[in-house]
Amino acid sequence: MMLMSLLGYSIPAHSDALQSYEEHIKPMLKERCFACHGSLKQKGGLRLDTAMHIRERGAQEPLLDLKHPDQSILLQRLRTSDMEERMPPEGKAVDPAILERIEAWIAAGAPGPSHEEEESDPSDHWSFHPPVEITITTRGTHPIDALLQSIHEEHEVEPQAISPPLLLMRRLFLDLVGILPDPEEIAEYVKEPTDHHYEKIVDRLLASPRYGERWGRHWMDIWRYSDWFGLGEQLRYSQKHIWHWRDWILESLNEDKGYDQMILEMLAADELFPLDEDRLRATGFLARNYFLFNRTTWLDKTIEHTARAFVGLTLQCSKCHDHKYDPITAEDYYRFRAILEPHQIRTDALPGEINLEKNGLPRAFDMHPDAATFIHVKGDEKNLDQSQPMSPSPPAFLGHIPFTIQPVSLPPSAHLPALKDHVLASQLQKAKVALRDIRDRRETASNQPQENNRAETIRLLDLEWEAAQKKIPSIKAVHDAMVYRSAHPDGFDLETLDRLAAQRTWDYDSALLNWKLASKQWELEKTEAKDQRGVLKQIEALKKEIHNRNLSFQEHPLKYVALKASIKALESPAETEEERGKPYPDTSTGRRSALARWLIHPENPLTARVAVNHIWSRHFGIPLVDPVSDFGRRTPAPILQSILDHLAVTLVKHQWHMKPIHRLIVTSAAYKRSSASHGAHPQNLLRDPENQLLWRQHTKRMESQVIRDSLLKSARLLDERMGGPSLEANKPHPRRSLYFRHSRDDQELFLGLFDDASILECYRRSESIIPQQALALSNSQLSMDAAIGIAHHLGWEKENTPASEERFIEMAFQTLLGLEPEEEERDLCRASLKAWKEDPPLNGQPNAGVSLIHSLMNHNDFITIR
Amino acid sequence: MLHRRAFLSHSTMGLGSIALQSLLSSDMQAKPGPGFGQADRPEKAKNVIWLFMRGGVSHIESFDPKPSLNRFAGKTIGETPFSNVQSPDRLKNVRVVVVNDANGQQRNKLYPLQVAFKRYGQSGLEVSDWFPHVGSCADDLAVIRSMWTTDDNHGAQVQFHSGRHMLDGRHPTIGAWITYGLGSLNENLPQFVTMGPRFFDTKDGHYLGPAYDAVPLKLDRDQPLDYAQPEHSLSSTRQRDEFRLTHSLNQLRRGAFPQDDRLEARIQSYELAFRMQRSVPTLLDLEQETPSIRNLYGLENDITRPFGRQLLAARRMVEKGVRFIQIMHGDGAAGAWDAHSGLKANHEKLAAQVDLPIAGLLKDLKQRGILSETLVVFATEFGRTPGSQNNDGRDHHPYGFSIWMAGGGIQGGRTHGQTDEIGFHAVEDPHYVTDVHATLLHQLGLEPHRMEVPQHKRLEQDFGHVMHHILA
Repeated sequence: MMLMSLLGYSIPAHSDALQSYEEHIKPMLKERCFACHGSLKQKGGLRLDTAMHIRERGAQEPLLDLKHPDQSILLQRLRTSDMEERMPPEGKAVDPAILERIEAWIAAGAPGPSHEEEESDPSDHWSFHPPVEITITTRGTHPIDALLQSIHEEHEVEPQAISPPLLLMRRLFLDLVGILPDPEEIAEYVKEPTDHHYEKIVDRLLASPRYGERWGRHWMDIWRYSDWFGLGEQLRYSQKHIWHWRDWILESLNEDKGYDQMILEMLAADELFPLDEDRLRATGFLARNYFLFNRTTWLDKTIEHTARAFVGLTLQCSKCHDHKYDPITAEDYYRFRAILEPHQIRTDALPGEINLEKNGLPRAFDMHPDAATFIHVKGDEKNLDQSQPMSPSPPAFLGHIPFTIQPVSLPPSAHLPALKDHVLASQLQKAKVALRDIRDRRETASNQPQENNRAETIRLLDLEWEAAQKKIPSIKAVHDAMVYRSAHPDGFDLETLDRLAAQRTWDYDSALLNWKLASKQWELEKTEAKDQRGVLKQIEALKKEIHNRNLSFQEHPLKYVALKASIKALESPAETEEERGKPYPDTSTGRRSALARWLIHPENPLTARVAVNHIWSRHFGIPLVDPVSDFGRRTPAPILQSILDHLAVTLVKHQWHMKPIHRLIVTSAAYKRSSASHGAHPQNLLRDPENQLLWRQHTKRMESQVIRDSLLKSARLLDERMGGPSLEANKPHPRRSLYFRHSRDDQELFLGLFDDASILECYRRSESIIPQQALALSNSQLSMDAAIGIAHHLGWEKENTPASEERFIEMAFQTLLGLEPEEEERDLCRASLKAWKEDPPLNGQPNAGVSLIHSLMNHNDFITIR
Repeated sequence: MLHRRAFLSHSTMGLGSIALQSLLSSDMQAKPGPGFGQADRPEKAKNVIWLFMRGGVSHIESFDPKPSLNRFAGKTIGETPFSNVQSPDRLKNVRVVVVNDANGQQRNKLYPLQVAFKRYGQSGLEVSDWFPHVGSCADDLAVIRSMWTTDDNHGAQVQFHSGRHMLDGRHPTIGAWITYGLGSLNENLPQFVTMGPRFFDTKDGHYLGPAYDAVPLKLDRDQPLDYAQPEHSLSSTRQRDEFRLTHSLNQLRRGAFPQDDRLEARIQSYELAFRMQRSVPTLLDLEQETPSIRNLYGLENDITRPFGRQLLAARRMVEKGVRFIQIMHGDGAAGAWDAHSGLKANHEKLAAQVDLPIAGLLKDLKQRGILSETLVVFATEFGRTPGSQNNDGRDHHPYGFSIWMAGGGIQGGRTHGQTDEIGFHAVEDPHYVTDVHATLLHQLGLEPHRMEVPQHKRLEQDFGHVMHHILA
């Protein structure tokens, strides 16, 4: 006892020390030290994941000094203020209270529990093993319910009953198509709630184009859809016309394209389908990451969100140093970057439009096949380790999944889009329109009175016409020569065709210049002598231009300007127009298609799981694996892993079609259950208050788009046209909300108040409750317009009978809330209607029925999906 | 109990959090932490008025006089004894966003001061002649002359509020953290308000959620707050009736969903919405102020009126318990103070718009005895180069610049930190922008390190260091 008090602490009993180790010391070591001194890495040959490892370090200098605990190296390194020496090297020093505990623990002999297990092998993590199909033995039961049943039995919880039909239909419609049902759409099931009727409705909803709009928005959240922004016309972020990608998402979902196919197209349509403009739209996934000012930021974001969205790996954590939790090194990070290094973004002309500011296809392609990728030392883009370029590959710990790079040789019009027939067609069309325009102007001019310089105007128009006419053969000749050259680079007729193209181009140019000169000379005649200087100068310049043009044609009789139908996005503000205009390579590295194939390979343990988790999360409000974008070692195996794996296996079995997965989910009893905990078995609340075992459904909140779209739909105001250019935000377009411009600078105010998707990251929507939501639902013109529309549709008349009013209250509750009104609720509504009908008429004041509907919009159960 | 916390971590309550507070304190075992309206220690200040001059105020022509610039005017930096200020290792902190931009460059030819300075008050604090009224409050100001940041372009505006460079994604701003940490002082009003021309990043809460976004207020009697008044012709009586019906119907649902926190929160939030709708217009009714007070803020003068009205509204908000009032000055994409040319005319004009109202605000707060608990911050995203740009302007300067604070337990009449002789680098007690945040949090009784939520690890630099020197 003497000795102990001299030391300034009391040596705890063995059991106290053990408890201290398990409850305080080990959790600290785990949090602060295991990343470098555990199973992932053993820096300095040291691991700290068991007490035995800490006590015994083989031949090396012991960490602990049991006789003089405070002399222990372990403590010295934790305590020192010398930052070169101190452990852990990053973050705050370890709490002194813990250090005291460590000292006492050492004094007690540094005990650990018997059979203390080492930290598990980093690659031995649940999600790094492929999902295994579980044979479901219960015949006749829905597989999800069979799996859930055994879990419920094990944990002794009792599931809730199936939701009332009306409420279930509301949930189903909002989940699958994102708009409220009309009574007639669900009447059959509500009257007779059989599985048969239910499934009929499920099939109808999944076949509806509204499904693509609903789920398209979900995937747009995950894949970070953003319209472009910049300064004025200068493009700085994402791409103009990126809505083509949005339309591709919607269409792909509606036709139930396989998720594997979608991944292939989003990452590498330019390599796999180089001439398929519909599929090329998919590479908007990459184009959306464009950032004018910093290529590293651009690629960092592409890397981060490709890995998180598709395989739930937090690759971004290994940008500056090796990953702290997962077996991913900084080298892995830059190898992944090397896959993306060659790619750039360009906009190609689409049929019918040659002005790429007006329309065009933003898409990815490999511009720099030979660009090297170097490690950024500690993530510093200014400090490259140029000793060794990184070869492209996905993380090494998943190296058993084949990753094979095969360069792709591209067809000519893939790298020279001007060769496409539709480009020629639009060029000719434009030339014809110009001709028509001149003809019209000539006609107008010929009807003018003589004294308005009629003769001179017509003479000039005729010159203009002559030039414009020559445009057409020049386009044709140039196109012919280009097509021939791409097919026969050393062809016999090449010179003839080039000569013709050059000749026709010159014909046009000189006619055009001739007209310009004539116009200027006429201008000179009209100008007073004292003001002629400027015009004379212009005439001189034109004459010089004509001279130069003639000279250049004589000297280079085979030279002409090629047709252009594509523009590369500036790689940085410093890029010159000359650099920018360089020809596109005729081969693509094949790296991105290798990555896409790697992602969808049957042996990839993550892709299908991550996909079904995204889907599940949007049917149940909470995901099976949380967080949805980190399946790494920090995320333990989910309680319902059997369901996750079953769905993942099923997805692959169904050729990655997603509609069967939706169908499987929404036809399960688990999905259909009541979300109320009211009347639940008391032990459910005790054993599983958070409902992790899904003994009931979860309550969700409508997303911003669902609120707005449902109001418009129920009021019969929704314009159901699909697709097309993004609509200007904060203008009253009655179309579905996903068509609004959505970028850093453009966001719908109404949608923004209800947790709209962040363009930077939105793996899940949050569900805030803020007072401005109530103000928006009450004070916006939208809410009033919708209330008027709904009241009218539900049959509110100027004169109502008590019976019709009663019916109105019922319909209002059913339509907006999915509920049958209880007697007390009816009473409240009746009283309000009565009072409002007696209100003195005021200009513009809504009628009683409208006010009832308007009130129900702020009912908690309107915005809630029960 | 777990489910409540899980719910809170996923949903955000913000203004509604007061509604939950009673629920939580009666129900939760754990001590309510940040987000639930409790300070970590006794606070020195209750409210913040945050004045932000967009575009970059010249520090050397406002609060950090550098007579050497007159002496060496016209010489290049290389020709002066200070040539080492441009040595590459001293410039490396800056992360360029716009490569090869026309702005944000080194400006080598030293440009003389465009304005004279005077000493003010007992402290003798030096303030330029463009800010004489602010000068008259010198004994209340703590001028920090050694700020630095890492963005050489106007993304630095975002950085000054969030503590992160624009290329590092979006992070909650200081106003959001304070609202998150402390919650509400008044159940009828938003807690975090923004006025004036905001920079491009219009959100504050980011991963904390929209509950912590500043509520934009306009001094517009018809629509001071988005959706504050019906966009349609619903009489206020009818609106109240509708509210009553909704409220009663919601109350009835409590029976079916006794454990639904969100139902409870939405009922409360709904009540708050309508209290806000009533209170905000009254709050912004400046007609209620006496002529002498209106004069103090310059409301009778066309030049000072717009900013003066915002500051007077800010004082009224402080009195009603609005926690954080953020006021931006200087419109345009980059911010009006961005004087790449014609600096003299530019700063003279803009300073005249803000100088008198700011002094009025400080005096008014003082005479009401509330300056001691109201922290006033005057800030800008960076300073301006000692060298000239376009002959008569100055470029962006992130290496050293000035801001000031007053009230709320800040020691007045002093400077803190220094730049070198030509105002280039912060050389003594340099402060990164988050040090301002740390100081605010400290004065409001919050521990910066508790400003963190699961899954959003913050870097050490994000928390900043309290500027203990300037505390009273």
